Amino acid sequence: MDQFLVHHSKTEGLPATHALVIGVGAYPHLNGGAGTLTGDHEGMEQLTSPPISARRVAEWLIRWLTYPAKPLASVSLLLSEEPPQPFTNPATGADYPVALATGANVSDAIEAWKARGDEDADGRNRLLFYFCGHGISEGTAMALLLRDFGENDNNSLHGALDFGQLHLGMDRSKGRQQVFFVDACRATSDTLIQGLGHAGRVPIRPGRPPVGLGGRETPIYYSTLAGQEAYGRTGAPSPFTEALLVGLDGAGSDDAEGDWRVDTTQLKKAIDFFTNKALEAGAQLVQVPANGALSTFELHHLSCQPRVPVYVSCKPEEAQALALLRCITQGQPPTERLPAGEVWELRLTAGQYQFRAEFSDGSYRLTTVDAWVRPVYRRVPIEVGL
Amino acid sequence: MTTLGLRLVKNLFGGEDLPSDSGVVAIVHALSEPNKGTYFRQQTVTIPVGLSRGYSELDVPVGRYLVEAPLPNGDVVTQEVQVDGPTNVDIETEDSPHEWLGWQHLVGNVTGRRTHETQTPEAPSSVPTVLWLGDPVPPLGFYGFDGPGRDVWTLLDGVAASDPSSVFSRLSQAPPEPPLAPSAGDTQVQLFRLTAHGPQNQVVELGRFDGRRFLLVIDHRNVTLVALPFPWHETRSGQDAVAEVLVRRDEQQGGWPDKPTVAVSLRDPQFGTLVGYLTQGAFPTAQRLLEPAREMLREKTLNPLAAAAGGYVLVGGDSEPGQQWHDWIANLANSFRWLPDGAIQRARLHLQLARDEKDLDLAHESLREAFGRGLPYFGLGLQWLVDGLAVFAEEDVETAHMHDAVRRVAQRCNLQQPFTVLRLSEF
Repeated sequence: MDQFLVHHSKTEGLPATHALVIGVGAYPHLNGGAGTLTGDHEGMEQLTSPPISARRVAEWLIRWLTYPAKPLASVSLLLSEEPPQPFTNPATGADYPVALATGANVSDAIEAWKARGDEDADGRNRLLFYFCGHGISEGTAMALLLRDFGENDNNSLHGALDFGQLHLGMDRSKGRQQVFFVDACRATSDTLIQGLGHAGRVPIRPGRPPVGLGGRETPIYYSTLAGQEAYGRTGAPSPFTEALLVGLDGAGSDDAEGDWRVDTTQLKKAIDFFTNKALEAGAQLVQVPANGALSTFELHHLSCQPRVPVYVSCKPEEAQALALLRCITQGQPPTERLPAGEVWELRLTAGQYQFRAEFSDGSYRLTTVDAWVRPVYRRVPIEVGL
Repeated sequence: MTTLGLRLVKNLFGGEDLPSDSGVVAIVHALSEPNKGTYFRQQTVTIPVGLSRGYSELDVPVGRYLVEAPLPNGDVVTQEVQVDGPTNVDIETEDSPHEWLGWQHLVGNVTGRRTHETQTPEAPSSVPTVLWLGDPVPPLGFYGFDGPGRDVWTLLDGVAASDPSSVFSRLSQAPPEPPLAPSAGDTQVQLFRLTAHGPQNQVVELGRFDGRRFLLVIDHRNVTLVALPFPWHETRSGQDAVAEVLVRRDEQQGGWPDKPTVAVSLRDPQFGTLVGYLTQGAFPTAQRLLEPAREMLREKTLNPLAAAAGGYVLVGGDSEPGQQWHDWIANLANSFRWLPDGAIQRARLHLQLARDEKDLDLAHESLREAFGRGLPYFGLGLQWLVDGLAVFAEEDVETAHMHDAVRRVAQRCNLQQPFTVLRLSEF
């Protein structure tokens, strides 16, 4: 088993899913790092969320990813965190040392991951890629910064991965379904790539795709939320990764086939929704390369009803701070929220609920609303009267 | 069975409402038994947008439904409805910051009123200058195949490296005119409304009647080149479509730091929201809007740029071999040799569906042809062009040079915009 794998299961020659997960939070050559500060630091600092985010994604994939036609066969994990910690496989309980996310290691891991995608000569394998850490985007070019960014004074991007070229190069893989999640915090000016003339390492150079296997289906999900603050949350994944996991857990699912399944289009809706919510809360967006293609295919089958974000509020807004809000459903104890000014956010299993606004001071009438909860989310405004 | 009528209520101020076959997409989910489990579990329809249009009607069993409408701006609005007899539903969305920003809000270029109002920057000490570039130099403005269009790449790269104060004179054959006055604005945004004949509120020199049109947006730090999507005739009426150009100073929605954001959208009742979904990357959703337009796409002589927009949606979405629209893509590329985007789409399709090396050779040839046609109208075209040339860059020196030339321009492109917007120069 290669040094990057933290999960591996045999699939007996059947089509399979192979994942590569990278989280970079410790940057020795950026501000606050243990090494020499690079001249190209552009104000970038250490990040706490990326290793946590990457671990959560790896754990989720191992524990929950269910797609019977292409079951999960491998997860490769590379991290940069201080101090380094092993990864505990949630399926087996085994501990694995985690390789450092340096340029050389990431290049090797990518080659091994591509090779797994090539194992099925008929092009049926699926490849998943996830990155969280610093990133720089200029037009169509995007550099994902790795642990050793800035180590080489003459070429700081030697410690970076050229994501655009990676995505292009992976069209040479026989695995024709490839999904990319890029959760890159951009906190620099836009001139580094232009100035250096490239955007980092190119482990797989672009070239002619294999013929006769059909077109590549390759959605890319970019985080568009700006700012280092979002990636400095203590003990928590980044907002994009949280949105991604909520989406995979069910907010990005639909039951058109009778059971609940997450597909690429529904997942995009869920992620876009949470991005818009962050925007409403004052977040800023960054430019990213265009998502130049999105075809619809299934990613994950849920084994139970999806859990869906629900936002309960009162109309008029003034009533919000006075209302005791309750959520009632058959067979479950009710939940309630004491009077508060902000919208009540819940995560509920898809189904039918009754929402109630009660006013102990009699300022408004007790009001009840019945609502069905289903993905992507549900807003429940309770219009209360005097 | 009974009928459920749906429409999205939104003031699109200054333009006509969007008809049912080209408004927004809505998905109707059955919530209650016994509807679930019957043939009606879920249906997707397109619904009109505006204040005065009728409703899209759907035959449904009596019962309870959840209507979900993913909008071009990325928002998803939902509404639950009990249908006991013929029922019309007005689906409401968040208010736009101003009435005159209704269209911009719908397509995602500004946030809703609530968020807009929380951003209260001080009035800037200077506002960007917007110049009409109606008579561009031939590599930029030329209509023609194998003409000076191929020189546009070195022109733009050279301009980017030059003194910002010289940009206009290097790109225009005519002297500058007085800066354009916005049609509307506040401390955060300026809105300009233009057709191929110039701004709606100002008379300008046009240059070649059939030449390309651009704007230059000059801030105290930056120069931005905006490719205007003309000629664009409204598909139903044949009239010149109005483009809305928004110059936004807030950086919240993807602006380059310290630079104004320039957003271009088209008020075409038939294709306006389709372009919005395309920009968002929602290709499968956009394809729903394309269905009623396929007949119009066949009549692409009326509006080849609209046909190109449809082409991006089709090529970027699900793509199986042997579909009829593949011929349309080839025809678009062959019939409009001034349109770089047609050749780019043809190349992309060859790459995606390659059955043998010959198909890949055809893709390569199409990309070289696209390079020679000049600057794509659509930002996605620029991305596909640079990506496509990268595949073949190691096969011959000329393709490698083409790739490098396009890459240097593509790095300056704002890919969150549907039409080509380039950050050219900095003070």
